[in-house]
Amino acid sequence: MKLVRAFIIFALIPLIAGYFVASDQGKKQQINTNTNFNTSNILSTNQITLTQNGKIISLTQKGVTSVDTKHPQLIEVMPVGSNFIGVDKQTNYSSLYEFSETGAILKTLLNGNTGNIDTMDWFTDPAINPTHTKIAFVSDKDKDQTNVQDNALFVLDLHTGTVEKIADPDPHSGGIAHPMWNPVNANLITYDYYQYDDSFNPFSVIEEYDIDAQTTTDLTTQKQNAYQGAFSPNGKQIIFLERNDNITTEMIIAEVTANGLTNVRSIASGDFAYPEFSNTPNHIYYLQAQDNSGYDLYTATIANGTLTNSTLLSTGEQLLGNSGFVVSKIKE
Amino acid sequence: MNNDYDIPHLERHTPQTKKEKPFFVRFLLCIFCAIIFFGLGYGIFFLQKFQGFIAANTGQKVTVKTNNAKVSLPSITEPTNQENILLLGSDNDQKFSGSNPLTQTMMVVHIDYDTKKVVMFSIPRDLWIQKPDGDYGKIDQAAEEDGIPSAIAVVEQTFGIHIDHYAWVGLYGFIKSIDAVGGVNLQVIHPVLDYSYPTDINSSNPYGYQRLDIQPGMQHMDGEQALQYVRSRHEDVVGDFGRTQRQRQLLLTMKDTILTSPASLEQFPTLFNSLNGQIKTDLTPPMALQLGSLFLTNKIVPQQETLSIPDDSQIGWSTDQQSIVIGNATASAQLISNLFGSQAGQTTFNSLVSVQDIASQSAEGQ
Repeated sequence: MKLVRAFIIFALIPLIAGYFVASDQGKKQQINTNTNFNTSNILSTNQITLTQNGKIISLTQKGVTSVDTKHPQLIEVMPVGSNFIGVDKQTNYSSLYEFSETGAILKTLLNGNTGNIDTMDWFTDPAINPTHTKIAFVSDKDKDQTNVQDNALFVLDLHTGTVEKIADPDPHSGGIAHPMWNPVNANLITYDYYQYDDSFNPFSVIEEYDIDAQTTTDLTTQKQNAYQGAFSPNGKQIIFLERNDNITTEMIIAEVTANGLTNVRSIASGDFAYPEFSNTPNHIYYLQAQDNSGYDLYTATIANGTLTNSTLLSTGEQLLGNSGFVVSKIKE
Repeated sequence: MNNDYDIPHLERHTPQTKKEKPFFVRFLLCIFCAIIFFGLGYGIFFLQKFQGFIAANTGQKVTVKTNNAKVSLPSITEPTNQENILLLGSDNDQKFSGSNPLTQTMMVVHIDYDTKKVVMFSIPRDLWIQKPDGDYGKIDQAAEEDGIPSAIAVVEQTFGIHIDHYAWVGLYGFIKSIDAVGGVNLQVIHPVLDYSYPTDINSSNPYGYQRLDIQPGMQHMDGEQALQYVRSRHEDVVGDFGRTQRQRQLLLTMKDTILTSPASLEQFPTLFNSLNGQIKTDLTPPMALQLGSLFLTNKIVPQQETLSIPDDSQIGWSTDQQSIVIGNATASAQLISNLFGSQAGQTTFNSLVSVQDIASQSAEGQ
């Protein structure tokens, strides 16, 4: 009798439980784009801005603000004062718009729709400078003039509306992505430069461009395969990703010095995207893949050379990894 | 019988039966037992899903023997030695009207059951070869003539290997397969800008084209987006080599997706109900089940590195002005020899030297 009881408790019930747990997990596959957020762990001095389904979503410790732009193809957004600048990506082109705080279009900053598919343009990856006067972005807009059919780096002056090309990649190399302004030196723009090695293997390097000196400096090596960098608010640290193989990434942090990066160290491995510093030292936000269904927003601190106190900020899943987000400073 | 009186007797004959294990040992055994059976139940669920996947694919039924609480799992008997499976992919888009499409993707999956390793060997679609009938042509054109058997024949002849099994998938099958597992988280390793990507899938204008901009970094893609990523090649400076790399990357990612996200197996029955002829294979249900079981239980492990015709092969032009890949005979023979054995390497060398001669003669004649 004891044996039968033991069999039921320690064999039959676990067997049935295992089956139903697996069955329950099997049902959690569909992507739910109606993401919910747990904002209590966002620092009181931070605002996180992102977009989903055409909505501009602002997250602060106090809660969530959502503004519908009626542009469901909005893929990137960032706050500028009380307004927003966003990228609307259509089938053959993308445009850069300025939206009001209620989501209405105030201004078309760059229009990729020329009406002719052969001359349409891509405008993506906008990054605003610390004084909110210029936007760096990448585009293929000069493809007819340069025969460079990859994304080059441009800067748009928000006051005059003029656009200046800053850096051109080699023809067909892969192009430039993810520009960011140095927070303490207005002449420096850093970006990811994608290329092929001699054996046709793709790699990426984080480069720094000095606008005044017109010089380029590699901050990382070809072997590192680095991308998606972000500076700390004081410009003394940089966080970025390295591609280990075709699937996983390392999150790397380093000190920024006049002679390049020092103390380069990995703080985590996983399927990460867009690590960003908050305004507090050693505190970051980032996206991380969950199963196969998309990306969730996390916050964590860096202590003893590793990520600690990782906390999930989005629930109900899922953010798309290619949308990214922007962390900005607000008054407490 | 009173045990108090029989202790000497029992101890003498069956001492173990009365000596109970300490409580913590019994407790640990029970917990261990519970964990094992929990895992077994968990595994049974996904095994059933996997069997549905196989059965739906082939139209044949795979049964799990059950007898009340007693469950009989299919035994995993590892085949001996090695096996080559030819994976084929075709652009059977809306423009295609024939019965045998080109096989733009050709990959030999080499399984070594002794070393438990799986190596994928990619064949460039533009590889210039001598066909079994003596004519020359691109390797992807073989299937166009007499279907999959022709594709198998040229691969066997060119590389001196035996193809044991094949699996073919068309564009719609590819899209549905990705969608059925909920899309795929993909690390875009290189930006893709394409100014003339064909609009020949679910389009009112199959002869039209569109512009693509796929930005680097981690992305979640649905089936159509993933197809764009692995199919585009127009603005890629390394042409088909770049595309082949992206295809191999997706295959490895999909394998990882299925292994690390068992939830995706839930979608297999739906997938195979919807595929309906978009996948063709000669793998029987037991073979496919066995192969899948070996993968899922890590009895065989795909290598991260995927091999292809060496990069120092030449990109040239045929006499009828087709862009072709002329394989480096020496380097390719060395690679094939390492992978499939010296006899296969010698055959490869002979095949590609023959092609190089013809190509150089064509160049001289022009």
